[in-house]
Amino acid sequence: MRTKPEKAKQEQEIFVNRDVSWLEFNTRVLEEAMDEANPLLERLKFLAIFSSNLDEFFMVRIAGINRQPRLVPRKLYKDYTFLPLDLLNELTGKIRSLVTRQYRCLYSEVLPALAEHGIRIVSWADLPAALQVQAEEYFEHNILPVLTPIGIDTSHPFPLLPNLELELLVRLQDHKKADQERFAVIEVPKVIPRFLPMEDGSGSKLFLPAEEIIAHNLSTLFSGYPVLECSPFRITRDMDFSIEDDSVADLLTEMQETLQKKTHRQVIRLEISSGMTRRSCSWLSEKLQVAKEQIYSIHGLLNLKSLFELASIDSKPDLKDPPMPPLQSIYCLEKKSMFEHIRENGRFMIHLPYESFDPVIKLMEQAAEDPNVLAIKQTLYRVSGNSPVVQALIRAARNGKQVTVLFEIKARFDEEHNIRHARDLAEAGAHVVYGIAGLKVHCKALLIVRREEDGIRRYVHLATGNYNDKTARQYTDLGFFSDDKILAEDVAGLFNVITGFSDPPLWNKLIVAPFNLRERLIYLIDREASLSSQENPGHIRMKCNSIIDYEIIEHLYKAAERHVKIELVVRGICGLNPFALRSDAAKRITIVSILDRFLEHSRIYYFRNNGAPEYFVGSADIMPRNLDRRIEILFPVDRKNLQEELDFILRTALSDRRKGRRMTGFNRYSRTDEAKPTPARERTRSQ
Amino acid sequence: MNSVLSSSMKTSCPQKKYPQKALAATIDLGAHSVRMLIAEYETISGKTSPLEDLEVAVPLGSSVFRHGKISNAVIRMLCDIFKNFRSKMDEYGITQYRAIATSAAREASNSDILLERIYHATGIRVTIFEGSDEARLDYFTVMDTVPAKYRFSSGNALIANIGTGACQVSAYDSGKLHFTETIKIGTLRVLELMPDTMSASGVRKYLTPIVNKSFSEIQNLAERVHSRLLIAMGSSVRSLLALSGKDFSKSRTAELSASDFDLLMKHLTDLTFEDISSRYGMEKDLSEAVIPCALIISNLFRITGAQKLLVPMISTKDVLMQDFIQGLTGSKDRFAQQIENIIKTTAEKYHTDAAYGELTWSLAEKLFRQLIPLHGLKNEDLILLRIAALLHKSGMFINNQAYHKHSFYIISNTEIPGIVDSDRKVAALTARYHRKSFPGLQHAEFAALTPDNRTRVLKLSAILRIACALAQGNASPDKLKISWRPDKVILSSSQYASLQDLFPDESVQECFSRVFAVPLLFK
Repeated sequence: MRTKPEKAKQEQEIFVNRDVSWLEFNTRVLEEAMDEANPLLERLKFLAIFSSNLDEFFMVRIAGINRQPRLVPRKLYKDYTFLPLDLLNELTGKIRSLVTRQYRCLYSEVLPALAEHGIRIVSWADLPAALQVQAEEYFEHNILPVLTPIGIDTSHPFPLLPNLELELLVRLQDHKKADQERFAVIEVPKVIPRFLPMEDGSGSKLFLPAEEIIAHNLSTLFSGYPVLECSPFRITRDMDFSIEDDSVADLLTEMQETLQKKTHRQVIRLEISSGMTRRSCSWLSEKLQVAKEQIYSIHGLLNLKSLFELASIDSKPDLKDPPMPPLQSIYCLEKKSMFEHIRENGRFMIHLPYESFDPVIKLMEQAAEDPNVLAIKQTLYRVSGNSPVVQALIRAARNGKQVTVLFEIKARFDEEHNIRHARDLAEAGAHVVYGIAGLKVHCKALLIVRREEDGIRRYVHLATGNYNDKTARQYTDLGFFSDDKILAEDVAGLFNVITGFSDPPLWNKLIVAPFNLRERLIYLIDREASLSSQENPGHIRMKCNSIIDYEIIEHLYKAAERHVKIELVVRGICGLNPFALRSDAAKRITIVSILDRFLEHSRIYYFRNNGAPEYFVGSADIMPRNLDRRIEILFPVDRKNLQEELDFILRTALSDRRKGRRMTGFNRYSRTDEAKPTPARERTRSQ
Repeated sequence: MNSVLSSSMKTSCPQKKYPQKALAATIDLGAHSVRMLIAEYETISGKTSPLEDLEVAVPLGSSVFRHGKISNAVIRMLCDIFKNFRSKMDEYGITQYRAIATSAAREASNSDILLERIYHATGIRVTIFEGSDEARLDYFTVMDTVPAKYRFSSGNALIANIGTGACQVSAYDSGKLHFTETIKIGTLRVLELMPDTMSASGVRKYLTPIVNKSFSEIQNLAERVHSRLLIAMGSSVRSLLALSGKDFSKSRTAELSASDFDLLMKHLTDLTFEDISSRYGMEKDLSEAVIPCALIISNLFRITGAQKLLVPMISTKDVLMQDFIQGLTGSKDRFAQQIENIIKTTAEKYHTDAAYGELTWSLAEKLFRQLIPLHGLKNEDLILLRIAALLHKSGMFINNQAYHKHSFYIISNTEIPGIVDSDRKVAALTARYHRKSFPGLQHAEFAALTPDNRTRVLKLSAILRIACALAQGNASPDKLKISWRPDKVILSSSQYASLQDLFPDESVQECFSRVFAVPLLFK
């Protein structure tokens, strides 16, 4: 942990380290779990989200830092450097503290409060006899058949354990030599629910963890071997792999082979139950080759990500946020086709999840069946399991349309999922492109080519969010429908680039990374600065998930120094530290982070441009990976009514006093005292 | 492709008549890149809307100019690219396309193999674009972009399309095409002649005499065309403009004065290729091309004495699509008059009797039009007949003896923009066979034609023979009567008691009946 002088020095740095900022973001997630104003099951959900986030952070970020030479300074931007060892220590120290807070919140606040509402997580000992019998029957029928205990000895080496799965370490007494012990590992099967739900007759819902059931029935598994100890543990592996795809002929095969090797990757974290003996811990850490500082002793349930199971139970709606189903779209209520709607309107926008995702699905389904449709092209990054989007594309291919899909199989943690869908599409006759060597395709674009009475017309849908009907109910995103010819020409050009049919063209309306997005953003910021003065200050507003590109941040600082008002709504990582600037410039920069029931995901960029405002929407956050190593797009929104809508979104977000936290110091966010609504005044809550 | 409208389309669309539209594609294979344009056009008006513009970089030029042929790797690369283009055409259901290959492919010794491989892989037939074809497109480019105030259509101008392998130079005299020449000096070609290690200033020193020599022929011709307007086009020319410091991005035509150009030349001497590439964001090939390009333009300034340079800021390839569509819609060929000018200029050059030529043509045209049911030739063949009619005696400039063979030579070697090489051969042989021997396979040039073209020569030359005989006798086209029946053709004229008198031997009738299997009779 940093000393006071080190902290003071850090606060004068003009940038915030990405990982340090991320941890602060996850702290805000934890604060939502700790917020008593949130319904209990929502608090539980935030605890699960915190854990899920942390898992990913370890797998990718901590793993990445861990691989670097610890004492060699790493340059982030110009003179901004960090020492991996220092960073690792800072991060892991903070994580331990946060995890402690997390468990305190769970066990001291949330679980007791849930118990009052008749929801309890219980241990075996808590169960009345009748329920123990029920649990044993459940074990016999549902768990035992899928259990595979693995004894470890000289002829049975330590197994390759899967990443993030809950395991039980069992220490047994050797039945032949009483002074000798043996170890066994049992994976808690992921095919069974983490919790067995039961009712105790008084109306209370009891949830018994699966590991408790297994632990109680060990004698069935190891008959003849006295059980000395049974402790849960979990490993996290380094999952930050990038395939050398610059010259890979078959990206798909390479990805599949890489995924198959994932169990071989280095263990980066070992979580153990606090009840595990030192002996067992020592043995285990030696087998897994983990250092002491990589071991986390947990006072309670491991893998709190599984609390999602409880958070989603239907029987206690009063413990959740009131439902907010998406508004039915007028474009789906009327009998007109989506093509007619788009033609008549020229362009329109939907705001998820407040509005339904159905217009997108309807458009795709109609395109699949319409004999006038010649071709459909789409980028897919993360899709749902039984995706109606993929189904529509399959039908379209079978109906003889020219279907081209860029399926980004490098979408982290969705690789296997995407590979399966991609194969289905290819089998249906679609032309599937599995990605571009060297770049990740992150833009969300759909192009439909249709022959109409007055000639060929192309319809586009561009969005900030994925073509995923599930996340469409959970994330805020914007989707834009248009038949604008120039935009369609650009989108057609984009697909030609993505499919390797063409080199990048000169874009008319689209701004595309990695070709010109960075330069254009800098140009727009610098232009705003050049047009700005004390009497006529410029104005920039940005809403995105992360701002961590230091070159862009530097230009924002310069703009602030030239009287530009800068308002940023950044959900997650933010690398700015305006407090290191001159005080007048610092005052012009406002940074708000919103964490609420829906995940803020839309990206909007606004530049006042001396009274001729320009609005851009798209897929890109301001991170080096988005600007330089991904295909991203921003597109202009030039219709006045749509600009007004975007303006409303930005203003509302910036004035959110309920769930908006403002940056009030170096990497520090606070809600104002007005966070708790009083009966007299309802504070703005943007969601 | 017929489309069936969905019911929602039918009920909700207003009852409006829309002009009929179709789709077309053009593909242009150059030395640096291959480009495909897809456009939708109105079938009556020819009004065009672009749909797709694809371009892929290919190292074709460096392969050809260095080794004289296209490497196997490049052939395979092009097959893959053309497969994508095929896929793109299938997506839109496009059947109408024009695919051309310009200088680098034209000069490769294995261009036939390239074209065959592409056809085999994709079914796309690529034709070689001659220099004279490029001159035609250059004319359209200038007509469509250069503002009327420069009076291109009535003044003197020199157009230079500076390519990677060759320059196509066309001179216009009072708005009429005077000549067009392909000069085998191109930006990439000359660079391939030089050592790799030569610096930018070394390049300039080395190339100046080469460029001057190559353009010396133009200088001779250009004395007749003292141009006040110099127009240059090509990607290297547009790149060169970027070095001038002026912003031409919003102009359809850029203008640079001679003095500004001199400043640009001076500026170039201080720059290395790497400077040009990095400072101006140019690809390596283009950054190396600007110096030879500048030398060529400098030479052209000197030849023409022009005070300014005009540069159309669109690619000639954009004009290719427009030209193709005009052909599809049957629009009047805007270049027809220029073809006419070049034929007349050639006739003048070889001191042919213009009045006699016109008389021969009038008679030949009448015969052609009235015997269409017999010969079945297309209207496009009329221009070839005209060329042969006006130039069939041009060979006399060389030698009276066997002048018909000299006429063949002259026509074969005269670049006539808009007339492809194979058609020019047909016209040349038509002129050759207006007298003496009947066309036969014992003549190598005739045997080298495709069967279809041999048939055209047979028919056109048979018609021309009659026209020549009639012209010799000063027959008036107005008084000539032609009647055709399935079993005979009868010619008569009120000028003569019998037209037989104009055909002293029966060679013309014999030729006619051999070609058309019906006798030619005179009343």
